[in-house]
Amino acid sequence: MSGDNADRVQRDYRAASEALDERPSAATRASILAAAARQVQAGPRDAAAPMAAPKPGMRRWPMAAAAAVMLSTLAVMMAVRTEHEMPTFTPPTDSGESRAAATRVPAAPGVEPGSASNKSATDTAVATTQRAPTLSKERAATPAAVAPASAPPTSSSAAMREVAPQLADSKVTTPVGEPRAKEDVAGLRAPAAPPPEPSAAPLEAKRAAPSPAAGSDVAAAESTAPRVDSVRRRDEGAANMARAPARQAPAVGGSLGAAAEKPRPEGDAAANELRAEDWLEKIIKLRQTSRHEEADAELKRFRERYPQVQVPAAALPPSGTR
Amino acid sequence: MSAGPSDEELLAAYAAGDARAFGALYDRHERPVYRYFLRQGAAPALADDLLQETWMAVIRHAVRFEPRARFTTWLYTVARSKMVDHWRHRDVAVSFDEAANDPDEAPLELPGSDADRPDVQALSRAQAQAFVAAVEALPAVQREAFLLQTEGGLSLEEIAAITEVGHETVKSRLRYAMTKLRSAMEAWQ
Repeated sequence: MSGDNADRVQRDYRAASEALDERPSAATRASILAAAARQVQAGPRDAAAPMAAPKPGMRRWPMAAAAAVMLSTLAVMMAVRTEHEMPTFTPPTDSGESRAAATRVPAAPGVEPGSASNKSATDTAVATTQRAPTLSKERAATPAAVAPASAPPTSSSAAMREVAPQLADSKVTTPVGEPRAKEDVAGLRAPAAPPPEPSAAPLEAKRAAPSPAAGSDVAAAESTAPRVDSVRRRDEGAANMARAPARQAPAVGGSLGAAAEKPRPEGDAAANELRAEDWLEKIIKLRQTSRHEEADAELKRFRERYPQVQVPAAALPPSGTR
Repeated sequence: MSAGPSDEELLAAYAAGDARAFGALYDRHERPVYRYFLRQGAAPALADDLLQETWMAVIRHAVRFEPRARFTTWLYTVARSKMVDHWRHRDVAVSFDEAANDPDEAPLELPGSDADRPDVQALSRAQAQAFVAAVEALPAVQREAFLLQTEGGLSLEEIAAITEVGHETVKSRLRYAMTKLRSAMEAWQ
């Protein structure tokens, strides 16, 4: 039989089948399709079956979610760490005058005798604030010397004087970052301030060698005050010293301004050194008591430390000895 | 076959979870497989049952289908297996003996038709039924080979693989089937 005849037979058969329109029942069709759908939806997958390629969106979405979670976690961690490390900003709660007084450099004797009481307390606070790291360490060891302050308390510091010992004792438990108003710090310093005197000579002496009582007060105050405020006030004090050279002691003149411009060295070794003006006063006192050898040694160290500061004549060796 | 994705691609898509792919695959082969059962002597209800069993087997084993074989070959292998199993359970002897391939066998007694038949495409329902009856009157092995080639579109090699006989045997069966059917057609004209 030829191929054409076979093809014709097959065509006739297909035509006959189409004419008869034979098809399975609708129920059979529905049953088969439903079974296929169930198998796809709920049937277990063969491990060897080829897996369908996931849609691009479905493949990227888990990655995007994981990246978002990771970035959020990092952001939170960085924010917490920054919050702990960065200095906190304490909005000024006191008046401008008290702030200016708090940041004022130690005044020369007799400059403003009318406000000697408050200014002396403030000056002492500023001076001790600039030495806060050292003084806090030194005077925190003598908390008993806090209460017997020699200065009459001011009205604003009366209440604070009563709580000063408790504050000094509680310095360990006080949070470092707890903000405190400057009035509190000034009030704590007030009892340690020297009594108002028309002459500033005792003040200068006290500045050269701060009393233990004042130091204790300041140490207690500084220990309760935010550490960042101490740093900030120290910087502001140095700047103010540079801005107000006329207020320096006449014996020292403007040379101390230049000394103040130089940033105070950090660390314990630098903190143990005296300020230039205090150092010169110490040398002068040694000269006055005829302890020239010690004065020469101090002067030598002073010049090594402050080579640009002009040394007053009273601190220089007397002519004839050298 | 129709254009678009192949049977194998549709089955792979279904195995991957695309139920619509199975629908398309089923639409392609629903009626040929159904007719395959009908021509083998199954009643419509039985053909429905066999068709359902066949496709349920396809659904269950779709994930295990190996693309190196044609889907049609696999489908008609399953269909034939279901049909043979059915007849065995019914204790009906399926005449697959080689004696049916005797070339001296008399031509089929096909129902004649007095109606003119200008074109086979314009077969009347009666003629179609007569032609289908001629197919159903073929010996079982010849009918099976004819149906697998005509309904399933299988090649001689594929038919030989399904029926588990040699290539030449299939070729001979087909030749005898075509001769008988052509004789039946000529009787109408």
